[in-house]
Amino acid sequence: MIRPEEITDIIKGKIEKFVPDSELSELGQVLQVGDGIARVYGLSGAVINELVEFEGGVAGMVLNVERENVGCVVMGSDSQIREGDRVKRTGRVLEVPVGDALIGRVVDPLGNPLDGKGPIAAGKRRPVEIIAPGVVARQPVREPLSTGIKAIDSMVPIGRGQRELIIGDRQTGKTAIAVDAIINQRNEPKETRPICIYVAIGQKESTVARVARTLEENGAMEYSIIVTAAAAKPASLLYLAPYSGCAMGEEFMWNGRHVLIIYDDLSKHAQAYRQMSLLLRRPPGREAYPGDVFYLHSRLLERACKLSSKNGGGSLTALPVIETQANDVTAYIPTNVISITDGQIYLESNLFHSGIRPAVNVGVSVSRVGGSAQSKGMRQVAGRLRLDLAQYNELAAFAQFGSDLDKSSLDQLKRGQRMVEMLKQDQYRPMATEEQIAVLFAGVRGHLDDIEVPLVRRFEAGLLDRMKEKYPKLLPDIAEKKALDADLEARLVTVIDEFKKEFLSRN
Amino acid sequence: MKASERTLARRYAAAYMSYGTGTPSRMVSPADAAGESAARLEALRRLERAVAPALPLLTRPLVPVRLKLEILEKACPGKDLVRALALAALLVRTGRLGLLGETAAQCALLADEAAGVLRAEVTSRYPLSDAERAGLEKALSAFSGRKAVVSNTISEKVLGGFEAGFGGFLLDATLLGRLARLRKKITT
Repeated sequence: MIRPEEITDIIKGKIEKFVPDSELSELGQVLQVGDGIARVYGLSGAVINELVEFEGGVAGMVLNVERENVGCVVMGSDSQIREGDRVKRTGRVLEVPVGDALIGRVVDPLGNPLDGKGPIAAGKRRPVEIIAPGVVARQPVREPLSTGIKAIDSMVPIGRGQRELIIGDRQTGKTAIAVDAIINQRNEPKETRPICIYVAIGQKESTVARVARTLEENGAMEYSIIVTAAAAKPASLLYLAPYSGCAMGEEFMWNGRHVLIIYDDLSKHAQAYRQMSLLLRRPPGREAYPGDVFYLHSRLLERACKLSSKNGGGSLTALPVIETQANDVTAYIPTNVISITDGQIYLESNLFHSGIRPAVNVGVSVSRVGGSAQSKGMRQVAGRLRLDLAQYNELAAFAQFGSDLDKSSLDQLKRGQRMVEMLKQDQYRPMATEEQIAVLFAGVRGHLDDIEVPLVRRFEAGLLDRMKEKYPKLLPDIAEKKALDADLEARLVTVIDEFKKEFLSRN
Repeated sequence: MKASERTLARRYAAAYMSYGTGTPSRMVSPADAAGESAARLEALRRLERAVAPALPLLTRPLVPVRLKLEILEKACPGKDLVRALALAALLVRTGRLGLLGETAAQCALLADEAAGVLRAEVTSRYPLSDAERAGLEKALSAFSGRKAVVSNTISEKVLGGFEAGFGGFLLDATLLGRLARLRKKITT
């Protein structure tokens, strides 16, 4: 609790330290202003991305340097800016506050707090735009980043330092996957737990509030930061938001820590950039996007990496989100981002509506890092899963025509149905890796084949409860060993058989 | 005046004061450049004074261009006004004779640049004394490497101190500016 005397002392101290000297600055004049863009005459020494200050304290950023004027985007309301107003160069590029003081806070892309919890005492600032680390500064992605979602951790594993795209139509569960990934990090030990940054670009304020509340309720805000540029904000703030979030994450990464950053979503980011570019009279290209829209996202996503041990071994894992229209992944922005990232998680609306949630299309989803980012135990149980599901999907289509199938095909169908049912998962219920291994073990080894499909999920929940109650060491042993040796497999089989007998007798 | 018109006036002024394709600027000595710029500015000002009585007629859209050009030639006789007359004729043909005044003002800035003169507009709460003016001119000359000429405007808005605007820079030594910087220091 801050006392009024402390505030007075702080202000007095600042006044005493203040040196009243004059200020020399390069000055320009506003030629025209409108739609968040101001054209300024003068400022011949201004550089791209430099911060400028309008009369009244509104900040702007130089984006166009032309022969007779400089094009600036206004970081705030342009309604107070008039033609003829003076514009000062600040001589520095845009920077945001970074550091531990931001953890647990909701901020805007300029680092101003929005959660009403008071000012942020960040000791350091970082430039929003920097060049990504080079090849020598990096090392290959090897450590897993667990999302807690069975369908993803088993078949589309993500590693620390990877870029994995989440792509799908509206209302297919993209944000749900991202939020579950954040919540699941609470299962990680504190020393290796990633700091999570959720960057909301062009989202509704109510959506961001809901995400913040969900993270708060699940104890995830203790290690998370939310950077938000809502739909009502100027396009300049939407454009800045992911870079600001990335700068905040890089501070932790370069200090040897791990970071998970979610950009939700980059489609709106591209639209905001298109709006700004058209107003700056840059020539429009395909779909009216400017010619450098690929560079817009590539320079952002290249900043996600796994640093070498010499540089601290920290990592920045990026989960960009892209919204497609009518499942069209061949559109301009989706194809751009697919070619940049190290894989994609493709969510389909027809899967979602048929009850398969998360609605991950495992056939199209891929992780280019693959098994390198999985623990040995997970590789053991999930190795054939994608192939089995692909074969099941083919058979299921065939079986729809009602033709007679041989026994092995019927068995495969049975197994596939149960695996699909088992991969379903409730929202905000991420599972620890050892739990996933145990459950997947039961599924891939055929222990669910005699369980009715509608009862599979109940069986799964009951099995995990049984393990925790009667065999409390089993899951921790799996977590410790990270692989299934003969002893662990035998213990798993024992538990499964025991519980299944009981389950079948009751159902 | 609209910003776009001001930009146009600058372009006309730059074209009028330039040396054209025949004589690269590096082949002209600074003294000659200053002299030539001053002469052109003077010619333009004389033309401006000469056409001032006829300006309402010359800017009327219903008057034919041919007639306007005739009036212009009759108002500005003399070989030394040929270049200025060509500029005025161009402005008449494009319907922009209204930019003549702003173009002349921009030409004055370019002439100052060529002559190595830096004009500083100083806004202060109270009139500058001679010593203050001389000191300021000396300091600005040392900063810019050009001969500084200070003009003083009085304004209560600055509260105290002064601010000097020169060559795209602003030196803010006003009390208002210091209070603003103090406020920023306290609140951030």
